[in-house]
Amino acid sequence: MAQVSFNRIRRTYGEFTALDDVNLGIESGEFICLLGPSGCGKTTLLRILAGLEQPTAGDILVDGADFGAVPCHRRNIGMVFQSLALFPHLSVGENIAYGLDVRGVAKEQRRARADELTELVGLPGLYDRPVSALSGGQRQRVAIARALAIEPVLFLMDEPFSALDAGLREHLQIEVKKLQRKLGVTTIFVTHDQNEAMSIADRIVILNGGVIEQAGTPTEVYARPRSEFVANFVGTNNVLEVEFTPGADVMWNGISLGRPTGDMASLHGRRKLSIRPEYLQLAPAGTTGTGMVGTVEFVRLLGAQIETELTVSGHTIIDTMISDRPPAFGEGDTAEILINLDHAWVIPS
Amino acid sequence: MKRFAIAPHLIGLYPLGMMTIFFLGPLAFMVVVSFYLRDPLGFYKVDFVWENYGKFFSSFYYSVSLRSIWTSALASLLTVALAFPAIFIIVGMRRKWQLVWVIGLLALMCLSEVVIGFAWVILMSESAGIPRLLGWLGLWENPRSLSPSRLAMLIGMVSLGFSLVALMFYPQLSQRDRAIEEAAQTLGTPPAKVFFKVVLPIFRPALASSLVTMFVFYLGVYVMPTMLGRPQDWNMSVIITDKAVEQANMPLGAALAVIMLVFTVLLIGGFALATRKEGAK
Repeated sequence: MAQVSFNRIRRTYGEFTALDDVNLGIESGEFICLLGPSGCGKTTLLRILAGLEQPTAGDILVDGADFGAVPCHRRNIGMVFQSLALFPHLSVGENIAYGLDVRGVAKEQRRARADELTELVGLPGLYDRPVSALSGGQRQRVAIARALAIEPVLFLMDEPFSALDAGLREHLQIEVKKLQRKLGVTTIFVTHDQNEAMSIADRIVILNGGVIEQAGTPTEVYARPRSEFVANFVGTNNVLEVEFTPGADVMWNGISLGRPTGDMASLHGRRKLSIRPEYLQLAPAGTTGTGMVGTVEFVRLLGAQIETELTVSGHTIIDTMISDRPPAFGEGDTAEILINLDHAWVIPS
Repeated sequence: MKRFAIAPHLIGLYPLGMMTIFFLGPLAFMVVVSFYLRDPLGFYKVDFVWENYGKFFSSFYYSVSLRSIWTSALASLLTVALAFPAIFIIVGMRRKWQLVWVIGLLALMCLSEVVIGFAWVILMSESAGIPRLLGWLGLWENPRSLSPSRLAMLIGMVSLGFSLVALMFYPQLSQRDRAIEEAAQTLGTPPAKVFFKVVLPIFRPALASSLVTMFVFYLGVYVMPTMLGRPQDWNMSVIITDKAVEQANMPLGAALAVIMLVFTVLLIGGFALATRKEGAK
């Protein structure tokens, strides 16, 4: 278990800035997800922590000690690679015991530890199996067991499940989360999949263009995005550019969205308003008298939810509702959109 | 009823025909000739004698065979031991430099054995080459020609096979998953040991097959031993040519060739069997 702190980390490749002034503190035992689109610098940050790459500037402290001067092989880090990178010439058990072998652990102890880990990741009795004879999910487990066998101070995973099918991926996400809770090892998990990040992380760090956009719990980043990028990247969202005037209605493209209350009442000027599709309500045309009227463009059923895509004067609005009844609107219908400002979030500018 | 399709089977006739014309035919002819009787005045007389094979079992041919095997083994080992790390370093370079090296290696491969041999003859000569340079630098007091010698022959052979082995490993090494080496590092392997702990073991089967390939290749070299080696360094290929062409003893040359072929086939067969067993393990 270890605390990590990134201080002003910068990484450039020639003209390209992969990471720019990254500051981040990670608590001992925390499960962190680095989330962002491809090329945002999340893998670079992980590789810098592992010692596989050097930062251009800035330093890393682990438990208060400078980690920058420690070479990769002395960092005692358990890492699961995107390609898994299992040793093809070794058996399952030998793969898992590799790190112990390098550390000079005696054969019987290596064997015992490897057996313990195959048990832990749900692969009992496969010690002598060649890794080429394993299924995708089993290979994942071997990679996880190999990384954990050395009792690492940090457990790093670089998009480990991206090559798996949806069902197996979800299953392994839950297993990894449970395993991490059991072992209490500080874990950093890189992913571009926001659903994956939401479901396993204690805290999500959203990166974009080499900069941290927001770091917060899944609930925080979902409900209170710090930037428009986060608002749009995490989950489905409606981001409206609105005009606040104290003592008057919030206006969007000449349409009133209602009178703000609470903190919102004192705002003035143009702001970005984030409102999740599940907080919108649709009503048949001419029933509520709201000014926000849209044309239904597309309706789709997402299992538990019905998603309706509408256009209001050229802007796309997404609404979702629980699918406890058949869709009330079809394509081409006109619907009134009701916004509850209590559930809206003003993106800080 | 399922109709028997002939067309797909006919396509097999093409490789079979090619093999027959260019390989099996001449081979059969060679085997037949190896049983003929030598005619000192003409070429050979049709006969069926074991005499040519009998001649192989003399100390002279024994020592030539052992020498051939030893030289080929040494040369193939040296070639792989030099070329594999070299190409490993090359694939770690930037794209641009990789290209320069690969073009260089291809150019080396395009040169004929004769050209490479001559280049070494000149480089190792007393008057114009390395000995003279060493003499001029004061490192060698009485510089003398380095060729012909066993060392010169080995150098010639290695420079002949070097580009072959390097280019044989180029695609495999450049497309390997480098994350495996990174994984070894994160698990505690010092960077300097990663090559021996992970890269060599992973490439062990490929290295073994390249060793066998180069061994067989070196068994058949002819130009390098004649140009750079002394008569006491000559291998079986040179002796066969000497017997068959110089001494006009075609039946003996044929018999020696057949023995060499059988040995090579046994070696390759043995290797294939060994790798198959390893794979099944």
